[in-house]
Amino acid sequence: CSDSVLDKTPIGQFNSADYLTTEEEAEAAIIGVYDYLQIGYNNYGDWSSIFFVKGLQGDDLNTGGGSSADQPKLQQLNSFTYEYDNPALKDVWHSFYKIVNASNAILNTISPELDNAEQISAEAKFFRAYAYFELVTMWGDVPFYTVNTTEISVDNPRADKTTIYNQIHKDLAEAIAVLPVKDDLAEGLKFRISKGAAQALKGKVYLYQEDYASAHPLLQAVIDDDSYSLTEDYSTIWLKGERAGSESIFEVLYSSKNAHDWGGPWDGTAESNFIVQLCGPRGDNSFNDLDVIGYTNGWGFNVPTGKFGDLLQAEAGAERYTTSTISEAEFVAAGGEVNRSGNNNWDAFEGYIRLKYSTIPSETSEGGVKEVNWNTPFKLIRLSDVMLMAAEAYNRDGMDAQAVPLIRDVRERAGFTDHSAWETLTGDPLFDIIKKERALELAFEGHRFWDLVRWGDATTELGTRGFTAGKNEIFPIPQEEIDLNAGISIEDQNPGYN
Amino acid sequence: TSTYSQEATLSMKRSNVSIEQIIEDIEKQTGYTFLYNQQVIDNLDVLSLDVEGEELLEVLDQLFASTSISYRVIDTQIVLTKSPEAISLIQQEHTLSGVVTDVNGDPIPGVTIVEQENPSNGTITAIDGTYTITLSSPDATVNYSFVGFEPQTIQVAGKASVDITMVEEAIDMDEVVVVGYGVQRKSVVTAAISSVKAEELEKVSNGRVEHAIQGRTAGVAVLPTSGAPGASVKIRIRGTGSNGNSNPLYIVDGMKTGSIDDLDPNDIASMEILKDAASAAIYGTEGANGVVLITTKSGTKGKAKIEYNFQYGIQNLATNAEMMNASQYKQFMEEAGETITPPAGENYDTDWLDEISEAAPMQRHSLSFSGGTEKSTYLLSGSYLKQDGAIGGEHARFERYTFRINTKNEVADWLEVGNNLNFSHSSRNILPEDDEYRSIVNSALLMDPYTPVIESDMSRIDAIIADGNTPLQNANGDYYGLNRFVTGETANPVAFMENTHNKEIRDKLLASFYGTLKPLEGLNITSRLGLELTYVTRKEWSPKYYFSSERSNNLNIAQDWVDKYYKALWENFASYNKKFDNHDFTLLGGMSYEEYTHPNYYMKSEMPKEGEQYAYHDYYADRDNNMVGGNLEENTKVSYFGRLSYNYASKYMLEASLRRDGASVLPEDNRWASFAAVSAGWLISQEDFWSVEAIDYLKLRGSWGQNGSIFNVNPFADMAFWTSQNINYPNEDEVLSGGSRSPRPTNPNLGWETSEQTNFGVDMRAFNSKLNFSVDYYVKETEGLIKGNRMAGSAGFGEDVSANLGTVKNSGLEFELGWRNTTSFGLKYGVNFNISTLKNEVTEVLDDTPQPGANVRGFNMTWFEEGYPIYYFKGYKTAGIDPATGEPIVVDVNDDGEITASDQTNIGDPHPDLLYGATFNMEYKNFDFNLFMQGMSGNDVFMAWFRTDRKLSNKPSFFYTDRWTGPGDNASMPAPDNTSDYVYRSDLVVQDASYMRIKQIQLGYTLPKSLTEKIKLQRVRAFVSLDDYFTFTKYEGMDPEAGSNEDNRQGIDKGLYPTTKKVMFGLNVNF
Repeated sequence: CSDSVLDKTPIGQFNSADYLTTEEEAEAAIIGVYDYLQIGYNNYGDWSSIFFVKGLQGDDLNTGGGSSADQPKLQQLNSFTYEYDNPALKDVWHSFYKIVNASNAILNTISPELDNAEQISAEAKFFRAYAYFELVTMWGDVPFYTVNTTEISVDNPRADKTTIYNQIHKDLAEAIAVLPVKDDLAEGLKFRISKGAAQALKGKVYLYQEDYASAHPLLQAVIDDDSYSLTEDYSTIWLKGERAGSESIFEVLYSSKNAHDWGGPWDGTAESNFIVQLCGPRGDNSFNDLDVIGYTNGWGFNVPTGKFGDLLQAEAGAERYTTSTISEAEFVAAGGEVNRSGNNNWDAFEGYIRLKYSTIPSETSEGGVKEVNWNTPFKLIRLSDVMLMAAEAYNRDGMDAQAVPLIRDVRERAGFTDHSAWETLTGDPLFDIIKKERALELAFEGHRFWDLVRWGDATTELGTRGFTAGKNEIFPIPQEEIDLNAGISIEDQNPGYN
Repeated sequence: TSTYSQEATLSMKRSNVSIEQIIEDIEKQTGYTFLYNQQVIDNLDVLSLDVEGEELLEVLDQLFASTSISYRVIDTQIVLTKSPEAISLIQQEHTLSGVVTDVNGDPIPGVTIVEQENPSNGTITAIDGTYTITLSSPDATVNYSFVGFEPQTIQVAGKASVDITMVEEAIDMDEVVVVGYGVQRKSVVTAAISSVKAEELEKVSNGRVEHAIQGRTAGVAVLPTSGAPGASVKIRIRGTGSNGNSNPLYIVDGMKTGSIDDLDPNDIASMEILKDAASAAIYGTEGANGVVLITTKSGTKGKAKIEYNFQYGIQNLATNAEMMNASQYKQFMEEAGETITPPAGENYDTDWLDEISEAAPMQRHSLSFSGGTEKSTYLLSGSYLKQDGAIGGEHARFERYTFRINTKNEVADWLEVGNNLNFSHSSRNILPEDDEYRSIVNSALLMDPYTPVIESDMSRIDAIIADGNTPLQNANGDYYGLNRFVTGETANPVAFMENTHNKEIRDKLLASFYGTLKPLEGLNITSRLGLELTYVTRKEWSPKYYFSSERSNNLNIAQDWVDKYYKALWENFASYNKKFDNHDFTLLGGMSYEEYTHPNYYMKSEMPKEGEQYAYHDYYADRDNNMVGGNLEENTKVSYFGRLSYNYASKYMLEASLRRDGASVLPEDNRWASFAAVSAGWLISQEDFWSVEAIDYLKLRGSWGQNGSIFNVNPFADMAFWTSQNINYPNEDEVLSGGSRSPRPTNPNLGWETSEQTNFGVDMRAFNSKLNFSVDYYVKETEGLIKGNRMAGSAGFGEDVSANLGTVKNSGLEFELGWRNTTSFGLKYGVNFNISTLKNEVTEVLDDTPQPGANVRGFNMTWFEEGYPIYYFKGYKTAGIDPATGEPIVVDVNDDGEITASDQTNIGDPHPDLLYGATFNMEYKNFDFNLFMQGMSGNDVFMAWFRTDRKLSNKPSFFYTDRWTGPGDNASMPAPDNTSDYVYRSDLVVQDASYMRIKQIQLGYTLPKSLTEKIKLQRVRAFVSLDDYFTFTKYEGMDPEAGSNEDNRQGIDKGLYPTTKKVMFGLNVNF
């Protein structure tokens, strides 16, 4: 009997030997990377969203949910009690490395003859740089791959951050050289990574490296790019109408068109944004009659802290305040009901209801199951963030004159016309203004904790929540990585976690 | 019955020896036995015989040509009688006549009848069982004997007519067992094989065949995945050897099949469980987890039979689980810091386990017709089974019809053709279970007792309606009770029990057709084609409902899954048997080719209106919710195999086999593998020097062999590919683009999983075979165990690739002990025990990297790790409760002074240390009694149904009764705490789930023959039975046999449908 009867062709799979040899395949491959980003921010592995892991340690948010025990892995982030077996940390680690892997696969196999090879490679470089930047920010030294492993077991020790930073800058520089500006992207492709996105990210990386002189030219280039302008109405920035909008530089898109129902999928591969449902004010007889403020019920996670609610109410300006949160008193006054016998994590509720990235009925499907079809995009880098990063870089580089107009533009959009109280400040006092402005402008968007760490303010602002200096600036290497990567042992764990 | 060749041949040269000597020689060479009265051969002179390869009948003709003896061959017996003229010479004094039958009323020909006082006077019964004997006196004593039956003695006392009913002897030494591609006499078997016979299967009340094996034989664990009607069952032979699927290979009438749940137990003649490598090696591929060989019944030549069996039973929930009642719940929660204030005027204390359970009927009918002519036999049968659920009633109903046609035809002397064909149609309503979020049993465990089954507070209902949502109603229009305290996905289980619409319909054809050529004496050449066709359709739809924002549905969605499985197995093999002097060789060689394809389809759409009749895809205008899916799986296998069996004088046995297998699912370079086995036996009791009279039979056995497994392979591991499956991304206008990725690394080194097993055994029978005993010791090592390799996250792959990941060692001792006897006053009884030990350990893991298994609430709970049992539970170990604080004292395992995640350690495993079973049966006059128990010990269960994220979910009452109540209290459970990992991920929720279950207490009554004959029936037996009625265990969950569909989650109890207790009535009628 010949072997031929034992030869079978796999179903629905493209043989690697002749894949990535057409423009269409190259296009599909980069969409595969975008999709990984979407999955990572959605709910890969039971709500282990990058959005939560990046956001919940900040002093702007409490974890919330149905009780203090709802989603322990997320509650632990909020109280700095997570250990190396925290599943959310493991899943987010894996999410970023999947982006690295998919980008590497393109960069190492794409045929250079393809018409779109340069463009697709530049996008892949951007994604690789983005993932590594998040990894080193969250974990410090991490395993480093520019070529995917071909072995089934892993033996790859942690690489020095500087090696990784060098690769990030190299990738981004190469991407910037190739990518078109956003205005030059075709209609329907405006969501793709543009030159501005790569510049903004490179500038941000320099800022995190405290290389301010290198940061501000890149950030300024984005500000000077005609493709971008501040969205006039702050309250619309997060809505689906502003997908690839004028303020969007780097974002994750979702869709309600797939009309998911409760059958799932629950593994994160859904096309809709599940996280918005988690961020909505909790139903179950806790927050009733949300329609009076134009919202519907969600599951009550990512709840504003009283500290930030008060700050926003006092200083954000009306539009930024009402877009970000609403106080209990105002909600009740508007006709809403807050019922403390309802099912909510009341310990996490400090008098303010979350409204940014929350459950606005127009942002979900009309016919399908509303709770599981949100299409709200996540803005990972938007223009006002870049302007405030540029202002910070200028200020830190002693160029306050360049910083002030940027801050002024952000505050004017927020409705402030009188800048006399702060525009004459320089140096550290101006830096404090920038810090506060970032807090007001970017509240609940996942920047706060990482800003505090970078500024050295984490102990001051988060000490009472359990932050331990010298430990909690970065996360522990996940247990599964230590178990399965022969190159990392428990002795290599980050300080304070072993 | 045995299948001896009618064409046995003889070679012998004897001169001037006694007839006894010749008879003995013929018996040895052919396996036939002679029956005669001494008187028949008394006056014979010495004889001579010189034949070479002549047929038995010819030899007999030649031998008795010059004597007054005539012979007759009945089955495997050669009966010698005096020629009529010789009989006439005997003096006639008293004539006794009658008929000899077996217990079924079938006549027994060839029974030897001897006058005790005058042993030279005897006769045998004719083909119709009748006899006539002329006795020396009317007061004579007469002995009746027949091989395989208990001898009987009667006092004639002047009677002219005596009818005798012969009862089968306890142990039939020349029983044959089915082995791979053939049969063997049990006495020469050298392997570890256990048999379960039809008689045992007939008594089983469960409609699933697998349950019949449970507790019957040593070394075999039967693990129900659920107690729900129709739920599948896993069989583990000699421990869990593999990482994923460790099910044995099922072979039904030579055809390989994926499951045996579509067979009616009444259709089965015998089940053989091949436990050691030597017996399974002929099935090289996939024999690694043992082999279950099933032979279905066939017709008997010359006897037409009609048999009808009926069973009716009532099932009830049987569980140890007891949840906190309302007052316990209130106090516990308040001590844990929660506020429990039931709504004013409400006084509910709902026992949810009680609310979801009911007395549920089950019934089974089976009818068979069988018979045969000289050349052909046939069996036609059909059965019907209907079983409601003790949880869910008709909503968990399982119904099954089976039809069977078995035929066997001797077309010519040199050709036999036949077929075995089984068709089954079953439908099963499936309730969600084994899930901590949305299952019904789980919700009943978690729901607070303050919630009513039917809502009384209409303002709650109105509020839901006001929000545009739909509260659920029952058939009477009453609204189901809404949660008073528990939150989240947990919702009224009664509502979901009655509103789950999830039905699986399965049509399965299992058929084999064969032809056997017999061109030469001893040579059989068989070609057999087997087919297994299975169509499975599942339909699910959901009504609209609202219980909470986490448990609601506002769309009517219909979903269908269609799976078609096709497997064809074509086998060609030849066996040649040669006997000369004391040598007996059987040589087997053959090949097989297997083809498997499995296409599947998925459809989903919105329904135009709520209701079963709208759950189809053509009728809704809005296609937004439509979704389709589908895939195809296909593989092929080719195998060559050979076996040599040899025995010398049925005293020394040796067997060797070799199989070479190729499988398409493995990488090209590792596709082929060979598996060898040898075994040997020594029947010491056959030796001349054997002089221990009490021991009739003593055999030593030993075997070594290898088997392969590819059950768990994900195909094309060596192939690098890109896939587009489930990869989409929307643009800014929500237009989706398809993407692709390379999801996993390649593993060109993937090869066969190989298990190597060494077995030693002793079989013994003593005191005229009243006592039987056997013991086996085995060591089974599974190397290169195949599992999806979990890679470090940093490698960045999204899927696992199959790899040979480690070694698992199972070892154990197995004992079987039985005693059967008939007392002087006619009480027949038998006792059987079996017990086996099991030790399971992972002895090697690739790269020393432990692999995670099942996940509980996001945390890896079970692990595959060197030095531990396979998929042991890893969590926090506690050393009691601190009397001062009421907190669990967590053991600082790594001794670093702190309690951290790295202190998690082995807190139990699901593998039993001991498995045992016992049966006791008794027959007296028309009554029979059967007691059967089964159990295991040393197996742990991890209670995983808790929802620590839902603080107000209910808990078992021992959390309340055993709790720490204040400083100084030496309690076994901590102070009330709803969330701590030191409670819910610790050994505090691991319990010893050792159990002993009385599987059956059955009392039967067979109507007296005198009565049945009047109504023209052969036999009528009725019984009453208590099945699975008493269970002794300390486990406080639903069922100590916490099964799971997922292989890496054995013993993780997420709220399972327990085994039910049954009261049964049954009737068996033979026409």
